[in-house]
Amino acid sequence: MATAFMRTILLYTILIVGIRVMGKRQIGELEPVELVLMLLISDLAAVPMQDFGIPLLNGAIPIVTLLALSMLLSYFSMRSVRFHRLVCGNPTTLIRDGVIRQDALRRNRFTLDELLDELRAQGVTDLTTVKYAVLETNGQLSVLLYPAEAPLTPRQMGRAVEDDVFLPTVIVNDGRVLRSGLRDMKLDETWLKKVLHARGYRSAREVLLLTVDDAGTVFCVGKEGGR
Amino acid sequence: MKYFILPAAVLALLLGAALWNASAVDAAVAPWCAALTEAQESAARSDWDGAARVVRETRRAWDAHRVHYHVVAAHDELEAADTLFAAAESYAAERDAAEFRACAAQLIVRLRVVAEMQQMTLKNIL
Repeated sequence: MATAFMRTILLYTILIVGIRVMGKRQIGELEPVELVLMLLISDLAAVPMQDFGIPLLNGAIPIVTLLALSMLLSYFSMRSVRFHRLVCGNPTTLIRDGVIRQDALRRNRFTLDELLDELRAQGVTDLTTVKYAVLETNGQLSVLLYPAEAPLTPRQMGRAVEDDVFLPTVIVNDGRVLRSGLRDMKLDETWLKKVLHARGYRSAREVLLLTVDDAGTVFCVGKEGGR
Repeated sequence: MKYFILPAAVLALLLGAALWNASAVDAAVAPWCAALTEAQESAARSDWDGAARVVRETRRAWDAHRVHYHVVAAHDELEAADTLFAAAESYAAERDAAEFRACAAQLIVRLRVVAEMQQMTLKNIL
């Protein structure tokens, strides 16, 4: 029990240091702390599940320890920028003002082919169009194009655009009325009945999806053969 | 603050439970090892009834802790100790001095291993 507890703390620390030393390109889409947690938990859960000779506690203690450590690291990362940088690293600029920073590529063990791969994946084939390329702490590459290469926005064109983008809230999901959605939109069942009757439905059970946005626009899809 | 207190409390609880478990197992095993040594001495004096009684009582005490050990220790170790307890009782009944001495010695080592595996020592951790 004590051994499992202490070994978990030791191995977690070793793995985080290892992942940090390996560089961001090894990470993928997770922060180092999250990646290590995922690597360890999946294996820890499997071992006592298959081997009945090992007490369940030997699997449970490391998992609970890891979750608690991960929460503590998140807490300290939120409290201290320096600690967050220590655990997760810093974003690295691989291209600055159109110039590839070869020392940054080497430091992150990021090959030129990988950089070109990432740029192509984001629809960039011409390196001269890239102003900045930043390798984020989760291993993803953020690409910023020169303004002349970026899509034109209404603001750049000096056009005023009406704000007509509203987030729809789900009110009926597969025949079930989501009361939290009604509450969030400050609506009630009477409003819902009226909306359903206006669309020819007798009850919410006949509806697959009903959403309403801040502008009051209702989107409603009935169930197949529901009516 | 609760994002700090909750995980810190869980870690403190686990550490406390681990330390309590290590000390509880150690405290239980030490008198059993002493009793088995006493049983070996009784057998050497040909006091087979005394030796059998001590082994029987020690096994009863061991069985009383069975659930606790089953939860915290590798089951192979516990089964090996169970086998040795049964063998020691049998050798004591047969009054086989050489086999009893060897079996009791193995049992003492096995019980010490069970207790040692629960300790928070650098050797175990590494």
